[in-house]
Amino acid sequence: MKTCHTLVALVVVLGLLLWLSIRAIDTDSSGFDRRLAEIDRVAMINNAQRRDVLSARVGLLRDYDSLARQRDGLEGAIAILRQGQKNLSSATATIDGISVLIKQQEALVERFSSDNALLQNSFAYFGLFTSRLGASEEGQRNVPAFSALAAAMLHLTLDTSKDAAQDVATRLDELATQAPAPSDARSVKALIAHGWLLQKLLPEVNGTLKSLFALPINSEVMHLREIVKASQNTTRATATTFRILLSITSLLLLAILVRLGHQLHARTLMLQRRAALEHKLAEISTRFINSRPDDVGRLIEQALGELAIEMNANRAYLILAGASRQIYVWSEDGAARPLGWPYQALALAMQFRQAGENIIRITRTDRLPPGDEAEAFLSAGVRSWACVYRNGTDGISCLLSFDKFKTPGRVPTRDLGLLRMALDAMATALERRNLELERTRLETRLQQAHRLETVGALTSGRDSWLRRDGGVDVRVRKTERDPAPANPTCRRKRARPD
Amino acid sequence: MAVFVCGRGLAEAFVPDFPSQLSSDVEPITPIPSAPPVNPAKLELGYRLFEDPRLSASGTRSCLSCHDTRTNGASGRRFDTALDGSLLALNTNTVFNAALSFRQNWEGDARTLEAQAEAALQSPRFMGADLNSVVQTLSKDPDLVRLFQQVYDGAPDRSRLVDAIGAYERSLLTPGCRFDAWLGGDRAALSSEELDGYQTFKSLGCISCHQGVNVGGNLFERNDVFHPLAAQQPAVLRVPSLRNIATTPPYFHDGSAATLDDAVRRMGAAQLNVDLSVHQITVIVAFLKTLTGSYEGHPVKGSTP
Ligand code: HEC
Ligand code: HEC
Repeated sequence: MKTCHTLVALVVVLGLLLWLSIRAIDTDSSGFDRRLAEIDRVAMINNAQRRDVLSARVGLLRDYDSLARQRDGLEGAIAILRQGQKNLSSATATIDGISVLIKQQEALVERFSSDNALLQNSFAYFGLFTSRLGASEEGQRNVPAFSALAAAMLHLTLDTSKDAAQDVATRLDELATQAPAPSDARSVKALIAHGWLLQKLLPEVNGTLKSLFALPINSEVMHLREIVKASQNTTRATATTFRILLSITSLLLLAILVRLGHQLHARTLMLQRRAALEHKLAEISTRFINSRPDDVGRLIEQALGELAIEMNANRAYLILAGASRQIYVWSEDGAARPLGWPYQALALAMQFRQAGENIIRITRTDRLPPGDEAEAFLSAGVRSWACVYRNGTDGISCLLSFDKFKTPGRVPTRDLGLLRMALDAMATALERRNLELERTRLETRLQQAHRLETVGALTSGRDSWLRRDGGVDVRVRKTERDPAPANPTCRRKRARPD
Repeated sequence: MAVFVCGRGLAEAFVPDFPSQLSSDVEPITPIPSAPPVNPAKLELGYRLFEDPRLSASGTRSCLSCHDTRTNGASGRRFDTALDGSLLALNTNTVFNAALSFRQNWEGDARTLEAQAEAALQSPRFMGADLNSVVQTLSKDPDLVRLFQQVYDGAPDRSRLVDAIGAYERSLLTPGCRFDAWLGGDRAALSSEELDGYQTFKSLGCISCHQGVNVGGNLFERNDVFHPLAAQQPAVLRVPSLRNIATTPPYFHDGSAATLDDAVRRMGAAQLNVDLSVHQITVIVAFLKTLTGSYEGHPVKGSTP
């Protein structure tokens, strides 16, 4: 039954363990890491794109392919993020926001690229033509106008205000009104054309860049990162809690297994002991079967000793109730038994007996409710008590009892059941002996009767009956250990099997 | 722009912006990479679809009808014809290296090859297909169904159809042109005239719009920065790629330049405000001719109109 409970507990704990381990798996851990990596990628690509835009603005970008690649990279990363974030609404909203910003940035980058290509080109031409014109012999008279234009243009590169743009426009108009040297005419025309383009593009590009760098993509990405990080931390915390529970449950499982092991071990030991006991009982029974009547007393004492050892008790005794009350006692140390003990045992057994098992087992006599019984045990110094008995017509006919256990409080119930076998064997042996004695007595009487008949026939006498009766009495007194008077009714009863 | 603060000559202050931007050891054009590795079955499927006339409403034309991948990936005509027999509004682009452009079509109105293909399939002027019925028709072809199964683990459907075509188009790269060899360090790959042409291309500023791996294809620009070039509309175009340019006459979105010389001359005037000399045109054209690569081991060649 106990093992059965342990097994149920084992199954329950195993189920719990399984459930906890499923919950404790940080299922989305890699998902979070991937998302965080993707978020970082967005920030990284975004920064790279802004860096490339600035490089392009100062003419240091090799080509515009990188900007297109970055556009694709950002879009891809956003798509991945969107997919991974379906169940986190705050993140979804932020991703949507970032996605809109990225679209705006893309449009700005494209406008910037288109303008910047022309800008860089026209700058090159502008520089080329101003230097060419400045160096030309015939164009010397126009040099102040070129210088003024160049200065205004350089100013515009730094300050794209309306005033600065207006200044360049004025210089370009001025130059257009001056008649250039015939050989310079085409260059001047080109200079003016590129000049106008620059005058238009410089503020435009500047404006585009301003709007582009004002897009709060990075801060939004950081925000998103925080959201995802926070939700990752929450998930992790939950997983950690479950992991702790998991560890506790594992320990519990271990405890249960250890307990189960103990129980099984105890069971094995018990079975071993039982087997030994059964073996011993069989041995004892055999001994009784083969015994000679005058050996039974000795065998009973021997058996009591052996059984007491099996039962871990220091004292064992067999009481045969009724008129022919007989008591056999074995005690480990051979110490004197307390006064009146175990005579009271029989009376006590009568008090405690219950229907069914024919077993009485009192682990702690000091826990008995106060009263005569408790008093009796106390005065006999009996702390734990166990006995098996046979029922007769008027109460218990035969009692096998143990006390003075080596480990008080541990009196095995099961083994007691087996001991009834021993009790039976001993009781039967005693009965057989009694019958034997009876038979011998009758034989003797018969012989004596014969003899007397013969003698009577020869002499004739009347007092011989008296002598015969006295002789029987003496014999009975000799075989019994106890001086209690024999009860013939009890003996007759015992001859019948229970 | 910080240069001018140092008090150098006026000209110098501007000049560094241009040559230093694009010359030196880092060239503004990069070689065509080799095509990305793809499941061969997917390429096979893509090609089958690309040349399959069942994809058009009339059942008479396929993508291949206008984009001949055995020649230049386009057609030699100024305008191809619409399904109704009228002429299309724009000259046909080549599908070669289209995968390397940042957007598709003259106006860059398609963001991806897949979007472009889907639009072309459904356009009443190009293919006029009803994709659902096309899918139905294809589902009756056991060969194709097997291929779809093999590639997508499933039956034909719209997105798989378009995806397969896109995958095929991504394989339509033409590496191995002489200029790429030169970029790769083979100094003998270009003649001095061609090299002169490349330098001119850069110094004139063509490079500011035509750069990157596709020598174009990564910017939007007006086609009349200084002077009108061709038909006014559409005004803003994706700068076309100049890869294989020698094989794809006529030029410009309206096909109005029959020869490369003409295209180059008009480009100079319209976009750079320069009247190119005959010599400049000659060397630039010589350079542009070194941009012709190979597809499947065969040099890309012009298509007869
Ligand atoms: C009737 C002729 C015709 C057919 C058929 C046709 N195209 Fe085109 N294709 C064109 C024209 C014309 C353009 C330019 C359209 C534009 O710029 O708006 C073009 C442009 C393209 C481009 C853009 C290339 C670039 O560099 O921008 C791709 C890619 C393309 N077509 C693929 C296809 C595919 C795939 C099919 C089959 C589903 C197909 N085409 C069918 C005529 C055709
Ligand atoms: C401002 C940007 C810009 C500059 C600078 C520029 N181009 Fe162009 N190029 C374009 C655009 C835009 C088109 C498309 C025009 C059209 O089709 O209407 C184009 C088209 C071309 C074409 C025809 C492509 C085709 O497939 O039809 C050639 C060839 C060409 N350019 C060469 C040059 C050369 C050579 C230079 C230098 C002299 C140059 N470009 C400078 C923007 C530019």
